Amino acid sequence: MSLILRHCQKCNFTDTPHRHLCPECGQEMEIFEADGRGRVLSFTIVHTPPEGFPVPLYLALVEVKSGFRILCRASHKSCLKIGRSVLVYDSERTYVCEPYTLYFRLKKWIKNQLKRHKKIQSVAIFF
Amino acid sequence: MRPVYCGPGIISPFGKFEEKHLQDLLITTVNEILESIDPGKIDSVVVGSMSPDSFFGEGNLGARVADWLGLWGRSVFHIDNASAAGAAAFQIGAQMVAGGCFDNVLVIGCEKMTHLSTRRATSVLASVIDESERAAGASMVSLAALVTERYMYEYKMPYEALMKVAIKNHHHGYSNPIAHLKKMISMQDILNSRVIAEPLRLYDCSPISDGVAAVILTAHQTDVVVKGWGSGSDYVALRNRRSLTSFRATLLAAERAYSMAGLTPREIDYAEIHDAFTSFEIIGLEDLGFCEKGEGWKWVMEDRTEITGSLPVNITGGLKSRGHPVGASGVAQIVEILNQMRGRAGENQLERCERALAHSIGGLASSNFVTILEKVR
Repeated sequence: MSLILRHCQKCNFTDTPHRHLCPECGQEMEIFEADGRGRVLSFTIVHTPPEGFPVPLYLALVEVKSGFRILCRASHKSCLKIGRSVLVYDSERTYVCEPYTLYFRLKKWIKNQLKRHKKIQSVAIFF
Repeated sequence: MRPVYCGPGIISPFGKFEEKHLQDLLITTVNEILESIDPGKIDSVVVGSMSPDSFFGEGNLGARVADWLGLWGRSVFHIDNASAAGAAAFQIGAQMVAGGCFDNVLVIGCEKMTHLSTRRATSVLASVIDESERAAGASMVSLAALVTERYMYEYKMPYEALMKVAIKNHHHGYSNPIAHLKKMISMQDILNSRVIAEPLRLYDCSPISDGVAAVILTAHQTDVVVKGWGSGSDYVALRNRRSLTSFRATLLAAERAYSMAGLTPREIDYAEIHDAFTSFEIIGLEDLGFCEKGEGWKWVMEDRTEITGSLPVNITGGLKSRGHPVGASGVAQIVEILNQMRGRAGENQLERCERALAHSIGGLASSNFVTILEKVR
């Protein structure tokens, strides 16, 4: 899981990789792999999303550590609180965020471990 | 620059006219003002319309409209600035008269949308927002919801403030003969309505409507002068904006319009603010300099934007109740102000309307327009 962005060193302007030139100074922006950890600035639950999207659709505007803001789909309803810690990553032409709490990370780690060890998969029900 | 004056203005009924073609709406409406002026004197036709090609498959609207109205031969322009298309067309018209290019310009705002399903119309409207945000599933209403949620958080605004905006605008739209949603609503109606994108409910959003509005701009003195205008733009994507709760495009547009008019916000008697979503009326109050940042919702709660308040806002129904045929709204706001200044606003007539301001938002506040009109003494 990664978050590829472009950054202008002169202006400190960051955006998605689609934007090649810095809108502030016009110089070529450099690709970098950003830290996807950030906090939710705002969110909404969309009950009438465009065609092809799940109902309800969870959207969050996240500010990641480099100061860049990004609009992404939230994988869990628990992301939807202003100030919540989340992890943003690229996913099929869009961005997704998931909770970045100790509980959630531990749960995910245990699930992955269980997937590897099929014999004790039945224990997964507790998680 | 020459002074620019407003001639006659007209608004068609706004609403759902699924069976009608834009041509019918346009001819019946605009012909009424063409009767009051010798059409031979019209030098140019400027048409504001967002997406005629996406909405009903016809482009080249400038020439098309002039043709429909028997005004072939004139200089024709089609202006698209998303939901501010009408306001943009008005300002272009004003600039042409001010610059001495033309003496009489017919400005038209129009849109025909209701024959499409709500989903389809919403997706055409969403074409104005950023591609990557659209890919995440965002539409105009969900971006507006993100802005509203953040505003409520930063300034501790209760949902009641949004309800008060909707109730006020519906109350006045009820007595506006051309309004789309002629329906008084209560807080309970709003709370019972469905949630579109939290925290915005159905009654926080302006409807999808059909409609036409037109006005003549002239270099010859009339009773109303276009005192100032200004426009500004901002990053299209919400993620690139410096602030979520204030629109830089409005700040720039307002600064330019006030400076041209030589006026301050305090001198404005009435404002038509772009309330495509109820929260935008509150943010507009602040960005236009009527009150401090974070005070807009308090003004609403204190009834200062009511017809009897210190600054009446959208007492003709606003986009919320009058309807929002996107390209027509910017011109409709101007015509509503002209009606107020000319004493033709019926039950919604203000006692005093010497100077008024119209504010229009294009896209999710990516190109905004502010126009100030003044009564000639």
